[in-house]
Amino acid sequence: MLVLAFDTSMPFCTVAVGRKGALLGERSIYAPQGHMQKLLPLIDLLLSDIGCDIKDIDAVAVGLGPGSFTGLRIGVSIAKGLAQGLNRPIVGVSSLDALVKPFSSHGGLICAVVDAKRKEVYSRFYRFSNQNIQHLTDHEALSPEKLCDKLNEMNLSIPNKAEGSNEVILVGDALKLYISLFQEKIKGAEFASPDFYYPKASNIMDLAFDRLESGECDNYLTLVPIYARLSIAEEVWEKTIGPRAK
Amino acid sequence: MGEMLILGIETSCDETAAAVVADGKRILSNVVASQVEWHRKFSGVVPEIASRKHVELIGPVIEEALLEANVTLDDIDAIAVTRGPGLVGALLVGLGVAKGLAYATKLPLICVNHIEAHILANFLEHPKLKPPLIALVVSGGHTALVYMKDFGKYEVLGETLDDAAGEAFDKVAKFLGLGYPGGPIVDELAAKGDSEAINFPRAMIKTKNYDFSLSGLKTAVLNYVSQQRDKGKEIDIPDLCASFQAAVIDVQIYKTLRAVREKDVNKVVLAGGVAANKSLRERLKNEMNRQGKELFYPSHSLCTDNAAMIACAGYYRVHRSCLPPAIGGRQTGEFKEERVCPLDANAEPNLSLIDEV
Repeated sequence: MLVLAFDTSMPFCTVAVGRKGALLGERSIYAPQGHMQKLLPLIDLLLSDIGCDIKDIDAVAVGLGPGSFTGLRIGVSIAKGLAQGLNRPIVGVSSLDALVKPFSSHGGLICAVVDAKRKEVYSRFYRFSNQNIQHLTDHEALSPEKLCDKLNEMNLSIPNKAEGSNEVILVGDALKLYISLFQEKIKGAEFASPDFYYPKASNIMDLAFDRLESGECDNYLTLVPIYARLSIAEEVWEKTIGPRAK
Repeated sequence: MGEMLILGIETSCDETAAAVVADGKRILSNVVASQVEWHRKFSGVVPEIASRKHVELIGPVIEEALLEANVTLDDIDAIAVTRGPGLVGALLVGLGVAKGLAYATKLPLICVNHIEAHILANFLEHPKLKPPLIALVVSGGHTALVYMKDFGKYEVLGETLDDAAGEAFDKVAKFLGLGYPGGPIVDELAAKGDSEAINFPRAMIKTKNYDFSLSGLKTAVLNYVSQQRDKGKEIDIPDLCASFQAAVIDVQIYKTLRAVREKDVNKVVLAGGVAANKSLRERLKNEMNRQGKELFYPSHSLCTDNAAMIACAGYYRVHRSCLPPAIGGRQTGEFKEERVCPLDANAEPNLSLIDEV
């Protein structure tokens, strides 16, 4: 089974093609604001590099975010078009799950932290057990300070930690902005290197295979991005007019 | 059959739409999912909400359009999609899906100008219609007077310098607490009122150009209402609506007729959502008929945003040598390489008709 995977939730446009456990190729380019123009040419280039045609693809996997709203919609829209056009399954994968996937041998707590602008981060907490991803929280947008408190609380409460895995690993591009805050506030924090600040399509692909193997997939008719936030208009409405209307 | 089937996709504002049209004239399906319910409480289109709704609705809308036309993607000869003008986040959804579909099916993709498609909706409705003509494009996002010399040959004579016509209707309706969208509500109330009750300014009616301005009129309405309230006087809403609407329409009719004289044409077409306004249709029709000339307008469902007009515009781009600028994909039959939308096509929120010629 040949899977095409990509992610456009962040400034990198990343594309991978491969079989289960066998990556055939991966390409990533820094393209902030350029996903609509860059994604399909990048897919086309990668497919021709590895001698495949789009018709050979058996499933399309896409990073659902959270991240840039516009970036997410570009990725999900193109994925929907491809899946419908190919009449193949589509699999949505959390972009934060993809971020932490390279740390699957870590026994302790892992936290994905992505810059959400407006002085917030998108975050989700994880543990891996036998290389299998476990979600301890859902995706959420919160202030970096709140994240620190939550993370400390969570880290204390985790039972049965493997030896030497007391530290929490933080992964994601929010480290660029808040690493000193995290160093100060989070006990036993370790930080992923900048190589791991953005999700890679090969990790989207791996997670998609996990879902496909357990017989799961999404539907191009209903798949939507993970925004983890309301639109600003709705936020304002909820805060002002909403309570009065109720 | 040999008919060319085009799948049209439109997501430039707050309608998610897909349609299948044969040879640019026979509508096999025309599906529109309106988002008006989600925008109503904000009394206007919220771009982020529109973009989110497009992602949710686009798959089912395309599926429905194919089912209703009783075809599959295998029967489709080309895909046409709006690339601008419009809300950028909204445009990206339709363009993304269309590009994905075209790349996967290896069908040619034709990028379409939304304003041109509104004008061409008239040709969908009236297949014998031929340019040259003057088009008055009036919608929620656009107000323009266009000279259409031939298919694909446009001259934008004038545009709004501030608010679009539909926008002015929405804002006035919002201010008066009448509901959303404002156009049909004001139109209905205006029919019961006296258009000469209040003398609102006819902005730019005396200027020699063909531009429009509506923000001053909007302010005049707001001022009138607060003055009346200060005086403790009751406001006659139908009279106010009729007088406001007349002020908008007077300028549009005046400038349209001047363009008809200057360009020496005998046909005018209305295009865009505000073309559904009854008073505008009736008054312009009377004026044109008096001069022995003709007015055309599409039926209501083809006036407002829809994808049948996008498919139609895609057809004319291919068959009437209205060459699109660039376009990429597979070379098939009647399509030439340069007509197929490139994989790197982007949304153009400010695309003008001139860019396309």
